[in-house]
Amino acid sequence: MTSIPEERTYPPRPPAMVRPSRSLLWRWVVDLIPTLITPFIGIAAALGLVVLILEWQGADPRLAWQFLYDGTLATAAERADLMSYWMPLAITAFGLVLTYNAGLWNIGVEGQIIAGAIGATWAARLFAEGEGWRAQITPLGHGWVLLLCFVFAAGAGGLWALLVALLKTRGGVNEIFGGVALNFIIQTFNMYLVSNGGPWQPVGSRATETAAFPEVARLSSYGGFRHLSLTPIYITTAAFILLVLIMYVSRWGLQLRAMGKNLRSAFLLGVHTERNVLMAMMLCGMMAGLAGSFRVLGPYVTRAKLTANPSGGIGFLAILVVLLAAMSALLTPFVSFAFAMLSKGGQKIESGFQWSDPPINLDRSLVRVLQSGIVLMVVLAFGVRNRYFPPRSAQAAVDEDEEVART
Amino acid sequence: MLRKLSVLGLLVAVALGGFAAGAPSATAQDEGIIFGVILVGPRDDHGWSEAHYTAGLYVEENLPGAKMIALESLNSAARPETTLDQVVEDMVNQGAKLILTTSADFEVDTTEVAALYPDVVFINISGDDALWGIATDNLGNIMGQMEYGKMIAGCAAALKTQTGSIAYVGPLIDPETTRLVNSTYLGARHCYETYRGLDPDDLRFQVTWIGFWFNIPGVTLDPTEVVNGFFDGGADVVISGIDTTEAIVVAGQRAAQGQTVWAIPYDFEGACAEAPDICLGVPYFHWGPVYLETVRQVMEGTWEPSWIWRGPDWDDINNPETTTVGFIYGDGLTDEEKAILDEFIAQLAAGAKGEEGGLNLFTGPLYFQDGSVYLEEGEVATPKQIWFAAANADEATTPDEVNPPQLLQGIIGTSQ
Repeated sequence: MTSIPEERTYPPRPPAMVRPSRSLLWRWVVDLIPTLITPFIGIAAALGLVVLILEWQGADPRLAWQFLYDGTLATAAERADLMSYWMPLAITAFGLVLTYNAGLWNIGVEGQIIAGAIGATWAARLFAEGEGWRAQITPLGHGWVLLLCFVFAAGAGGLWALLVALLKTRGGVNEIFGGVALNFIIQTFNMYLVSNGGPWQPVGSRATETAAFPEVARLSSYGGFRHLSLTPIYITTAAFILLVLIMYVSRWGLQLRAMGKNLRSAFLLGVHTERNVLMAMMLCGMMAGLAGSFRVLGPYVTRAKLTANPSGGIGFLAILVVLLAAMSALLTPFVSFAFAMLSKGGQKIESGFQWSDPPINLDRSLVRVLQSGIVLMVVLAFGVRNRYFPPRSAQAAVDEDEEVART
Repeated sequence: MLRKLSVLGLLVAVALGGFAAGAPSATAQDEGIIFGVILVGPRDDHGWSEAHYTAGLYVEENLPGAKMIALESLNSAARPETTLDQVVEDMVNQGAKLILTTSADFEVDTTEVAALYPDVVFINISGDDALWGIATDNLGNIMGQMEYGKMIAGCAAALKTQTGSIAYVGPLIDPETTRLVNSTYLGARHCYETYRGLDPDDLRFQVTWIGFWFNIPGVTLDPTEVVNGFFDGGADVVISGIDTTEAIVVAGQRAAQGQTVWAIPYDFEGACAEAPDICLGVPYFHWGPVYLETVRQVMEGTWEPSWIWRGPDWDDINNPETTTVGFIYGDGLTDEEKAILDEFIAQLAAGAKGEEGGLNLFTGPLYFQDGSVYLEEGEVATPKQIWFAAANADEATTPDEVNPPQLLQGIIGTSQ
């Protein structure tokens, strides 16, 4: 590594909470106007593409919207289902905001969700079913079992992410490659657990999954909706508040941003980059792990078990969310909501057309095309803007950021 | 904040467009019946799922007023946002009175969800909850006696193999898949000895399990690689036990490069079309007639909960009006081999009907891989012993008491 440069004089340290001056704020707002228009162009382009595909397939795009709306927002039951899919996606995206702002491309988040799901399942088996070494002397209550499930899930996800981070900082393995490899390993381990008579597959079962967890290890349902529970909503909200505090209030958030802009400069300016890499990755992994626990703890019996693919790709979806949200903590809940809606509504569009008279068979991957298309178009729009219409204050803003980071 | 507003604004704009569009036309019909079919894979997989989808179309054709609503690819990789109960709910809201869940992967959930909708009839294909009496009385099971189709497949492979090495690409390990591998092996041994006059102990028969019913990248083994590995390892006939067509596709590619290889696909009547010249035939499910019977019973209100395990129509195993399991010869067979298979099928038919001189391959002595006795000398397997690929299946009173399924001694590959 490079040695720390010679003594240099730093300006006097300002108060911990640095607020931009009015002129800086104003410049930021002016700069935001093209930023506002750019994603809109991208999204419009992607939607236009999908409308064209729908028309080409002979499906009425307005009807498609109707199916999407009916299948996600129209009734309380659909909204409850949507909520249960949104929460794990959102909390995963929150974790990714941390790492992506620090310049850490945590592709391994998918594996961290699976690690969390396995952790939660392990806790459920230990403390609710009394499998393996018997951890329970007296049966634990509902709250305690769930708490342990969450702790195990966050721990497993965090450790799996820490492994990626250590491979990066100590082993010199780029976090993208490390993440891909660890994704593969944990997915294979998960399959080992639940398939082909694996240790967690019930004897005689023909489904590739564990047995449903007992009531005591399931989230309690709310309002009579099979899949809705308040606990994930509370936890995700808490994670969001934590994220906002980190990104907008704490000095640590500034350090992460500085690392994202230029890791080497941040290091030279006195940021503990290695420690921060480990911490950011681990925090992200813990949030992903919690997402994994939301995916396996019910409340309804069809979801209260570890399946062949507990994450189902929501880690990768969360990566798209964060990219589309331009790594902004404040935008992430909204973008993740829109993506959850598209995912869930996509199936309703497909079945809506297929079950109507006469049936129209749409390709199932249309929604994935739309989601990826939106992100691609938006990123492309930003790229085109920066290439041909560079914002005048861009360079100045970078300087400002580094100024701030030095504190 | 402004960027956030732009996203919201867009959603609102699209929403307004949607409201202007008006409600979609209702699909409920005044008379007739709507039945749901839930598939684990794509409806055009040229395999397991397509066979079920085709059967649904068969019912629509043959029963006026019957309408199918289907959902394909319900599995945790393709549809992470959806579980079985949500699909069932949608289908019931569409007016479905009968729902067929066509995978072992749905068995547990079907039994749970059936309790939520007592007025709807549920059929889980390939399951056995109705057999044990642990299901509610609106749940039944249907399966075809594919053992016979697999025995014919094994026989065809044994007639053909030049290297004396046959390979089987299996999905996951459970009683169903194990009994099908065992059946294939028994058919292969019998024909290797009887018709080719060779020592069946010299026949190499190996199985590799990919981990699920079809390829899920990153989750299962890649069947394309598995099949390539078989051919590289000296096998010249690969038999498919998975839902999709990789075995015959790879064999077709190898044959195009000049290699002497064959394949036997599975599940779907038209599966040989992928590479007709090297196809030795396909054991397939023909669910249409039994679906039709079930839909009609539900419509007329005469359906009773039942566990159905239906065999081929032994007068003509390919009769499209009557059979549940069949075997279509492929172009890879010579006329002589076809004649031998005709004779073999006639003997199986006689055995199944209990006629004098008929052939029942599930006759002892047979041993499992761990050396334990499956069937004593001269003992004929009971249906339950075949179904569970376990010796103690008839004594067990609950599913947990049945021994885990095992491959027969002589098969190379793991039982667990």
